[in-house]
Amino acid sequence: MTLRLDSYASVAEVTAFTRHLLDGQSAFNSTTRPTVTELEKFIDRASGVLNVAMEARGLDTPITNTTAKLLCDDWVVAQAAMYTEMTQRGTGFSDAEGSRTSYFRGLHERANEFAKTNSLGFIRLGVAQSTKMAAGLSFTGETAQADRTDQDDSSLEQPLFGRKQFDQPGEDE
Amino acid sequence: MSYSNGETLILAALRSISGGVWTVSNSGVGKWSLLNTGKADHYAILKPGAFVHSFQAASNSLTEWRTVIEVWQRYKDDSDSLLSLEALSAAIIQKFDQENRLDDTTDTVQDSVCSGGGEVTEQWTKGGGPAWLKQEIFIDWKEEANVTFS
Repeated sequence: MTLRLDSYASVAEVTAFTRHLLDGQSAFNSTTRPTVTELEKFIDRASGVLNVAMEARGLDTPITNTTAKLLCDDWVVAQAAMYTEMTQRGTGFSDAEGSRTSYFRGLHERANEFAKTNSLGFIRLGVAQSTKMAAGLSFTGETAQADRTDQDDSSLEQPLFGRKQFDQPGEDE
Repeated sequence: MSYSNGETLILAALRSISGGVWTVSNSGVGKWSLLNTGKADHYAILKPGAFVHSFQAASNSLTEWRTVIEVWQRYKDDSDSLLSLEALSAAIIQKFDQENRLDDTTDTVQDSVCSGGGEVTEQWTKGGGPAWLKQEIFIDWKEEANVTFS
Protein backbone atom coordinates (compact mmCIF):
# COMPACT_ATOMS: atom_id res chain seq x y z
CA MET A 1 0.00 0.00 0.00
CA THR A 2 1.14 3.51 -0.65
CA LEU A 3 -0.09 6.87 0.49
CA ARG A 4 -2.90 8.59 -1.35
CA LEU A 5 -1.84 11.25 -3.82
CA ASP A 6 -3.71 13.90 -1.84
CA SER A 7 -1.99 12.98 1.44
CA TYR A 8 0.69 14.96 3.17
CA ALA A 9 3.85 13.91 5.05
CA SER A 10 5.41 10.48 4.74
CA VAL A 11 6.02 7.32 6.73
CA ALA A 12 9.68 8.34 7.16
CA GLU A 13 8.73 11.67 8.73
CA VAL A 14 6.42 10.00 11.24
CA THR A 15 9.06 7.38 11.99
CA ALA A 16 11.45 10.14 13.01
CA PHE A 17 9.19 10.87 15.99
CA THR A 18 8.24 7.28 16.81
CA ARG A 19 11.51 5.42 16.29
CA HIS A 20 11.37 4.08 19.84
CA LEU A 21 8.49 1.84 18.78
CA LEU A 22 10.44 -0.03 16.09
CA ASP A 23 11.59 -2.72 18.54
CA GLY A 24 14.67 -3.62 16.57
CA GLN A 25 13.21 -3.24 13.08
CA SER A 26 14.84 -0.74 10.75
CA ALA A 27 11.48 0.71 9.74
CA PHE A 28 7.78 0.17 10.29
CA ASN A 29 6.82 -3.03 8.52
CA SER A 30 4.38 -5.90 8.82
CA THR A 31 5.80 -7.01 12.18
CA THR A 32 5.78 -3.67 14.01
CA ARG A 33 3.01 -2.14 16.02
CA PRO A 34 1.51 -0.35 14.22
CA THR A 35 2.22 -2.03 10.90
CA VAL A 36 3.34 0.16 8.02
CA THR A 37 -0.08 -0.35 6.39
CA GLU A 38 -1.79 0.94 9.51
CA LEU A 39 0.59 3.89 9.69
CA GLU A 40 -0.08 4.82 6.08
CA LYS A 41 -3.79 4.73 6.85
CA PHE A 42 -3.23 7.08 9.78
CA ILE A 43 -1.49 9.52 7.43
CA ASP A 44 -4.24 9.23 4.83
CA ARG A 45 -6.97 9.78 7.39
CA ALA A 46 -5.32 12.80 8.99
CA SER A 47 -4.69 14.24 5.53
CA GLY A 48 -8.33 13.68 4.60
CA VAL A 49 -9.54 15.49 7.70
CA LEU A 50 -7.22 18.39 6.93
CA ASN A 51 -8.23 18.59 3.27
CA VAL A 52 -11.91 18.72 4.16
CA ALA A 53 -11.24 21.46 6.72
CA MET A 54 -9.38 23.51 4.12
CA GLU A 55 -12.04 22.94 1.48
CA ALA A 56 -14.50 24.36 3.99
CA ARG A 57 -12.40 27.53 3.89
CA GLY A 58 -12.62 27.53 0.11
CA LEU A 59 -9.04 26.43 -0.48
CA ASP A 60 -8.22 24.04 -3.28
CA THR A 61 -6.74 20.76 -2.09
CA PRO A 62 -4.39 19.04 -1.98
CA ILE A 63 -2.14 21.94 -1.16
CA THR A 64 0.80 21.99 -3.57
CA ASN A 65 2.42 25.33 -2.77
CA THR A 66 5.73 24.19 -1.34
CA THR A 67 5.70 26.53 1.65
CA ALA A 68 2.08 25.90 2.55
CA LYS A 69 2.58 22.18 2.09
CA LEU A 70 5.29 22.23 4.74
CA LEU A 71 2.69 23.31 7.28
CA CYS A 72 0.31 20.60 6.15
CA ASP A 73 3.10 18.02 6.30
CA ASP A 74 3.94 19.13 9.80
CA TRP A 75 0.36 18.94 11.00
CA VAL A 76 -0.24 15.50 9.51
CA VAL A 77 3.05 14.17 10.91
CA ALA A 78 1.99 15.27 14.38
CA GLN A 79 -1.42 13.65 14.08
CA ALA A 80 -0.07 10.42 12.61
CA ALA A 81 2.62 10.21 15.30
CA MET A 82 -0.12 10.64 17.87
CA TYR A 83 -2.15 7.83 16.29
CA THR A 84 0.97 5.68 16.30
CA GLU A 85 1.49 6.28 20.01
CA MET A 86 -2.15 5.41 20.62
CA THR A 87 -1.58 1.91 19.24
CA GLN A 88 0.53 1.08 22.27
CA ARG A 89 -0.74 -0.80 25.26
CA GLY A 90 -2.18 1.58 27.75
CA THR A 91 -4.86 2.57 30.17
CA GLY A 92 -6.27 5.88 31.18
CA PHE A 93 -9.27 5.98 28.87
CA SER A 94 -11.04 8.94 30.35
CA ASP A 95 -12.33 12.23 29.03
CA ALA A 96 -9.77 14.21 30.98
CA GLU A 97 -7.53 16.55 29.04
CA GLY A 98 -4.32 14.79 28.08
CA SER A 99 -5.88 11.33 28.22
CA ARG A 100 -5.78 8.94 25.29
CA THR A 101 -9.38 9.49 24.23
CA SER A 102 -9.03 13.25 24.20
CA TYR A 103 -6.45 12.94 21.42
CA PHE A 104 -8.97 11.19 19.18
CA ARG A 105 -11.83 13.46 20.11
CA GLY A 106 -10.09 16.64 19.10
CA LEU A 107 -8.83 15.69 15.65
CA HIS A 108 -11.50 17.42 13.56
CA GLU A 109 -11.49 20.45 15.83
CA ARG A 110 -7.72 20.76 15.45
CA ALA A 111 -8.01 20.49 11.66
CA ASN A 112 -10.62 23.25 11.57
CA GLU A 113 -8.45 25.41 13.80
CA PHE A 114 -5.46 24.80 11.55
CA ALA A 115 -7.42 25.76 8.44
CA LYS A 116 -8.88 28.84 10.09
CA THR A 117 -5.52 30.03 11.36
CA ASN A 118 -3.60 29.49 8.16
CA SER A 119 -6.03 30.06 5.30
CA LEU A 120 -5.21 33.75 4.88
CA GLY A 121 -1.49 32.99 4.85
CA PHE A 122 -2.06 30.22 2.34
CA ILE A 123 -3.99 32.52 0.01
CA ARG A 124 -1.30 35.17 0.21
CA LEU A 125 1.26 32.50 -0.62
CA GLY A 126 -0.69 31.77 -3.77
CA VAL A 127 -2.82 28.81 -2.81
CA ALA A 128 -5.90 28.86 -5.03
CA GLN A 129 -9.24 29.60 -3.43
CA SER A 130 -11.99 28.52 -5.81
CA THR A 131 -14.82 29.23 -3.42
CA LYS A 132 -14.77 32.70 -1.94
CA MET A 133 -16.76 34.47 0.68
CA ALA A 134 -19.02 36.15 -1.84
CA ALA A 135 -19.80 32.89 -3.60
CA GLY A 136 -23.16 32.63 -1.90
CA LEU A 137 -24.26 36.08 -2.99
CA SER A 138 -26.06 36.72 -6.23
CA PHE A 139 -26.52 40.04 -7.93
CA THR A 140 -29.34 40.94 -10.22
CA GLY A 141 -30.32 43.95 -12.21
CA GLU A 142 -26.91 44.80 -13.57
CA THR A 143 -23.65 43.17 -14.60
CA ALA A 144 -21.04 42.72 -11.90
CA GLN A 145 -18.46 45.46 -11.96
CA ALA A 146 -15.66 42.97 -12.55
CA ASP A 147 -17.41 41.72 -15.69
CA ARG A 148 -18.07 45.08 -17.23
CA THR A 149 -16.03 46.03 -20.26
CA ASP A 150 -15.89 49.66 -19.22
CA GLN A 151 -14.57 49.14 -15.72
CA ASP A 152 -11.23 50.72 -16.62
CA ASP A 153 -12.74 53.58 -18.57
CA SER A 154 -11.53 56.63 -16.67
CA SER A 155 -13.94 58.84 -18.52
CA LEU A 156 -16.77 57.16 -16.68
CA GLU A 157 -17.49 57.44 -12.99
CA GLN A 158 -16.51 54.14 -11.43
CA PRO A 159 -17.81 52.71 -8.15
CA LEU A 160 -15.54 53.15 -5.18
CA PHE A 161 -16.17 49.60 -3.94
CA GLY A 162 -16.32 46.31 -5.76
CA ARG A 163 -17.38 42.77 -5.02
CA LYS A 164 -14.85 40.63 -3.07
CA GLN A 165 -12.81 43.71 -2.31
CA PHE A 166 -12.95 42.95 1.39
CA ASP A 167 -12.53 39.18 1.32
CA GLN A 168 -10.32 38.30 4.24
CA PRO A 169 -10.49 34.53 4.36
CA GLY A 170 -8.51 34.32 7.55
CA GLU A 171 -11.25 36.04 9.48
CA ASP A 172 -14.60 34.73 10.55
CA GLU A 173 -17.28 35.25 7.95
CA MET B 1 41.77 0.01 38.01
CA SER B 2 39.01 2.43 38.78
CA TYR B 3 35.26 2.26 38.95
CA SER B 4 34.91 2.94 35.24
CA ASN B 5 37.35 0.13 34.42
CA GLY B 6 35.29 -2.31 36.42
CA GLU B 7 32.12 -1.02 34.87
CA THR B 8 33.60 -1.67 31.45
CA LEU B 9 34.33 -5.25 32.48
CA ILE B 10 30.73 -5.66 33.62
CA LEU B 11 29.44 -4.29 30.34
CA ALA B 12 31.69 -6.71 28.46
CA ALA B 13 30.41 -9.61 30.54
CA LEU B 14 26.85 -8.53 29.90
CA ARG B 15 27.40 -8.40 26.16
CA SER B 16 28.96 -11.87 26.24
CA ILE B 17 25.69 -13.44 27.35
CA SER B 18 24.90 -16.01 24.70
CA GLY B 19 22.35 -15.34 22.00
CA GLY B 20 23.45 -11.81 21.17
CA VAL B 21 20.83 -10.46 23.56
CA TRP B 22 23.00 -7.47 24.48
CA THR B 23 24.94 -5.49 21.91
CA VAL B 24 26.26 -1.98 21.44
CA SER B 25 22.83 -1.13 20.07
CA ASN B 26 20.94 -1.85 23.24
CA SER B 27 23.40 -1.66 26.14
CA GLY B 28 25.74 0.99 27.41
CA VAL B 29 26.97 3.03 30.33
CA GLY B 30 24.65 5.91 31.08
CA LYS B 31 23.26 5.94 27.55
CA TRP B 32 19.58 6.37 28.24
CA SER B 33 19.16 7.76 24.74
CA LEU B 34 19.37 4.18 23.54
CA LEU B 35 15.79 3.75 24.69
CA ASN B 36 14.69 6.14 21.99
CA THR B 37 16.49 4.45 19.12
CA GLY B 38 14.05 1.63 18.52
CA LYS B 39 16.94 -0.73 17.84
CA ALA B 40 15.55 -3.32 20.24
CA ASP B 41 12.62 -3.90 22.53
CA HIS B 42 14.91 -4.31 25.54
CA TYR B 43 17.86 -2.28 26.82
CA ALA B 44 20.46 -2.38 29.57
CA ILE B 45 21.81 0.84 31.03
CA LEU B 46 24.67 0.69 33.52
CA LYS B 47 25.16 3.30 36.22
CA PRO B 48 27.15 3.56 39.46
CA GLY B 49 25.47 2.63 42.69
CA ALA B 50 26.45 3.39 46.26
CA PHE B 51 29.90 2.31 47.37
CA VAL B 52 31.95 1.84 50.53
CA HIS B 53 35.61 2.79 50.75
CA SER B 54 37.95 1.80 53.59
CA PHE B 55 41.47 0.83 54.51
CA GLN B 56 42.06 -2.78 55.27
CA ALA B 57 45.74 -2.27 56.01
CA ALA B 58 48.06 0.69 56.52
CA SER B 59 48.63 1.23 52.83
CA ASN B 60 45.99 -0.89 51.28
CA SER B 61 42.48 0.30 50.47
CA LEU B 62 39.40 -1.66 49.67
CA THR B 63 36.48 -0.25 47.75
CA GLU B 64 33.21 -2.10 47.55
CA TRP B 65 31.64 -0.85 44.35
CA ARG B 66 28.13 -1.34 43.13
CA THR B 67 27.19 -1.20 39.48
CA VAL B 68 23.49 -1.02 38.76
CA ILE B 69 22.22 -2.61 35.58
CA GLU B 70 18.90 -1.11 34.60
CA VAL B 71 17.07 -3.66 32.45
CA TRP B 72 14.36 -2.05 30.35
CA GLN B 73 11.70 -3.96 28.46
CA ARG B 74 9.23 -2.20 26.21
CA TYR B 75 5.69 -2.78 27.43
CA LYS B 76 3.79 -4.27 24.53
CA ASP B 77 1.53 -6.94 25.90
CA ASP B 78 0.17 -7.89 29.27
CA SER B 79 2.14 -10.73 30.81
CA ASP B 80 4.34 -11.42 27.78
CA SER B 81 6.40 -8.27 28.26
CA LEU B 82 6.90 -9.03 31.93
CA LEU B 83 7.94 -12.60 31.16
CA SER B 84 10.48 -11.27 28.69
CA LEU B 85 11.97 -9.04 31.36
CA GLU B 86 12.12 -11.90 33.82
CA ALA B 87 14.04 -13.99 31.29
CA LEU B 88 16.49 -11.16 30.65
CA SER B 89 17.13 -10.68 34.36
CA ALA B 90 17.55 -14.41 34.97
CA ALA B 91 20.18 -14.65 32.24
CA ILE B 92 22.09 -11.72 33.72
CA ILE B 93 22.07 -13.26 37.19
CA GLN B 94 23.28 -16.56 35.79
CA LYS B 95 26.06 -14.86 33.84
CA PHE B 96 27.42 -12.93 36.79
CA ASP B 97 27.33 -16.01 38.98
CA GLN B 98 29.93 -17.32 36.57
CA GLU B 99 31.96 -14.09 36.50
CA ASN B 100 33.17 -13.73 40.05
CA ARG B 101 36.33 -11.88 38.95
CA LEU B 102 34.82 -10.11 35.93
CA ASP B 103 37.65 -11.49 33.78
CA ASP B 104 39.93 -8.90 35.33
CA THR B 105 43.50 -9.48 34.15
CA THR B 106 45.00 -7.02 36.65
CA ASP B 107 44.00 -9.01 39.72
CA THR B 108 42.47 -5.99 41.42
CA VAL B 109 38.88 -7.18 41.35
CA GLN B 110 38.72 -9.37 44.40
CA ASP B 111 35.19 -10.52 44.23
CA SER B 112 32.11 -9.88 42.18
CA VAL B 113 28.59 -11.03 42.73
CA CYS B 114 25.10 -10.27 41.63
CA SER B 115 23.91 -9.30 45.05
CA GLY B 116 20.29 -8.60 44.33
CA GLY B 117 17.94 -6.30 42.55
CA GLY B 118 14.88 -4.18 42.79
CA GLU B 119 11.28 -4.94 42.07
CA VAL B 120 9.99 -4.52 38.55
CA THR B 121 8.52 -1.08 38.04
CA GLU B 122 6.21 0.21 35.35
CA GLN B 123 7.28 3.40 33.62
CA TRP B 124 4.10 5.20 32.70
CA THR B 125 3.32 7.90 30.23
CA LYS B 126 0.78 10.47 31.32
CA GLY B 127 -2.65 9.00 30.75
CA GLY B 128 -1.19 6.43 28.45
CA GLY B 129 -0.46 3.41 30.57
CA PRO B 130 2.86 1.66 31.04
CA ALA B 131 5.40 2.22 28.30
CA TRP B 132 8.30 0.34 29.86
CA LEU B 133 9.05 -2.24 32.50
CA LYS B 134 12.28 -1.71 34.39
CA GLN B 135 14.25 -3.74 36.87
CA GLU B 136 17.53 -2.87 38.53
CA ILE B 137 20.09 -5.59 39.06
CA PHE B 138 23.00 -4.95 41.42
CA ILE B 139 26.51 -6.16 40.68
CA ASP B 140 28.73 -5.69 43.74
CA TRP B 141 32.46 -5.99 43.28
CA LYS B 142 35.50 -5.26 45.38
CA GLU B 143 38.62 -3.46 44.33
CA GLU B 144 41.82 -3.60 46.31
CA ALA B 145 44.50 -0.96 45.78
CA ASN B 146 47.86 -0.07 47.23
CA VAL B 147 48.08 3.48 48.45
CA THR B 148 51.20 5.60 48.22
CA PHE B 149 51.04 8.34 50.80
CA SER B 150 52.12 11.79 49.75
